[in-house]
Amino acid sequence: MRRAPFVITGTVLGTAAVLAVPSQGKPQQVAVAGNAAAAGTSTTATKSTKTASTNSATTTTAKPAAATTVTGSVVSNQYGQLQVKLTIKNGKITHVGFTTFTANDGHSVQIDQSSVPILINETIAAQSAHIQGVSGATYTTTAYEQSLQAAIDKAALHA
Amino acid sequence: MSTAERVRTATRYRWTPGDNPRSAAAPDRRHGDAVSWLIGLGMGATIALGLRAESLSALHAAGGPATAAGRMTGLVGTYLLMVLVLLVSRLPALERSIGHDKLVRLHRRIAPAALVLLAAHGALITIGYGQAAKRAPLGEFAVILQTLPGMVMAAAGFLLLTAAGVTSYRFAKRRLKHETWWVIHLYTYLAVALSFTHQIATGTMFVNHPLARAWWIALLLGTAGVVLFFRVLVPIYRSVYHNLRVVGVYEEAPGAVSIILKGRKVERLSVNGGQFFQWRFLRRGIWWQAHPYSISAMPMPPYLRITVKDLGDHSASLSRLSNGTRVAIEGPYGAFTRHAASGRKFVLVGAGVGVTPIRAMLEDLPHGTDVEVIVRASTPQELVLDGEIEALVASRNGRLHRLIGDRDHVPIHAQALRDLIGDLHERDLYICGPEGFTRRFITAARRAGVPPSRIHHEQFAF
Repeated sequence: MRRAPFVITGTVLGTAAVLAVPSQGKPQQVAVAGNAAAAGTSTTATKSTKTASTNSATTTTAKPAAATTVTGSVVSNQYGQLQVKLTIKNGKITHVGFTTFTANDGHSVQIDQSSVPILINETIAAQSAHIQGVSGATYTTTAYEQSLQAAIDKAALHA
Repeated sequence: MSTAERVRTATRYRWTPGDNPRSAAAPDRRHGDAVSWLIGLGMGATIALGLRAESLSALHAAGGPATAAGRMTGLVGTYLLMVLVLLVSRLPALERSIGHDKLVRLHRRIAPAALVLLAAHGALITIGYGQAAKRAPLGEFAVILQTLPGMVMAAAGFLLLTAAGVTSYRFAKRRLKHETWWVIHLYTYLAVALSFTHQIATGTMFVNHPLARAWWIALLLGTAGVVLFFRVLVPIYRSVYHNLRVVGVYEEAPGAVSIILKGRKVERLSVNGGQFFQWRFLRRGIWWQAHPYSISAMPMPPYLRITVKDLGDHSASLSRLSNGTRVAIEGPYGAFTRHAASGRKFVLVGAGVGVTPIRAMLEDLPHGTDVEVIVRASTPQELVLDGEIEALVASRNGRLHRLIGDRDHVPIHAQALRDLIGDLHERDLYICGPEGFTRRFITAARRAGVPPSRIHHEQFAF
């Protein structure tokens, strides 16, 4: 027990030393389909646009419908940050992507990755920001809805 | 080996007073101090990691406080787990300056705290995440197990740790074979490894923090390296290098046998009287049992000797060991040596077969050391190694006190000890014997004025 003071003093010094070092942490990219900032998703995006234009070329009557993209607001909370990017064609939301989607910790990454596909499906089904959301991902849902609403508002302005 | 040679070996061994072929030098206490500092600093760094992962907004969010507490308990609990492993890793810096038995006692004292912290970690994180997700704890527990990486492994690891903890309580340990307990304990290494994935993959302080992650991985690998080196590689190397074999088994007293071993370069074993090895007799049926026995004489190259009580399922079969049996060793371990003394005057106390380390230590004391020896037995016939002890005490001009008789006739209290050795309170006291005897003797010695720091004893009943 003679060495207990060494251990205790060491603990205090260690805590102080590590707390004194400036923070190195940076948010992590959330790997979900349509997160433009995350690597590997851009190819799929171009591909789908291409298919869309080929399809429209075969239609005879109407002039080819141009797909437009609008971005929503950047929303952040303590768990991360996201910004929705919508692809709208003929007044319909055909694709939901993100210009940025980061999470601050591993647990949030997990929640985001499991909830975002559901949120996207709900959006395309509802064609509005009035979606059911995902229980257990309250913060992600709220942030997503907020950015989505901003994008829809912007799209209506430009229409 | 011929019969004549065997007898010669034994004779030489019994009667030549040792000339200390290689008595180990005093351990450097600063090594133990340095390890203590490092353990403290590591604990500080771990706590700081937990603190840094927090933010006020996260604390105010739903489930924030529970999650934060869960994170901290997990970090500190895991760090303590590493310390627990390190304490019994046979790291020489700890082993020689603190002593094996004290390290084991420390290990046993800290272990419940680590287990409680890890249990709290699981519960608090489940509650915290559940509050954030608006789910009941049980449901959230299922979700965590299914969705977060490494969680099933971590849960399995916790169960293994719990098993090791529960089987270590006295009531359980008494009912278990030592080897069963040992195997269950061995699985704690697996438990530590299993729980690692979820720490690195989901821990807020590690995800995206390469420095923190590097420290944590280094902590795990460093601990694993120390264990692998000192608990596995060094014993294997020493066993192969010294290539010890049984060359003789002799009865010393009713129920006590000496086993003589012969090996290569025994003089290179740096050992002190009072230290012990873990002995593994490589014979079918008992090779997987390792048991701690003190050397009962300083090494006399190429020979080593242990003297064991011929009782119990393990020791009983030792008296039937045949010559040529190979022996694997781990050690030497223990701080029950002359180096633990703070003065130059000694009292060595041995009861029953507990005189064996006393016998070796007596030989290890420098000539001219002021020494008094007390041996304890129920009958004169049960005195073990009595002739050797008498000769060694005489060669150091010491005094030998034999306390013979049953407990009622041999009182052990402060006044009796003072009558026996007048300047008892000025001496370093070394005691080795059955637990009850040791406890009574220590109590009496303290009452007789011996400061606790001068009372040295080692417990083999782990």
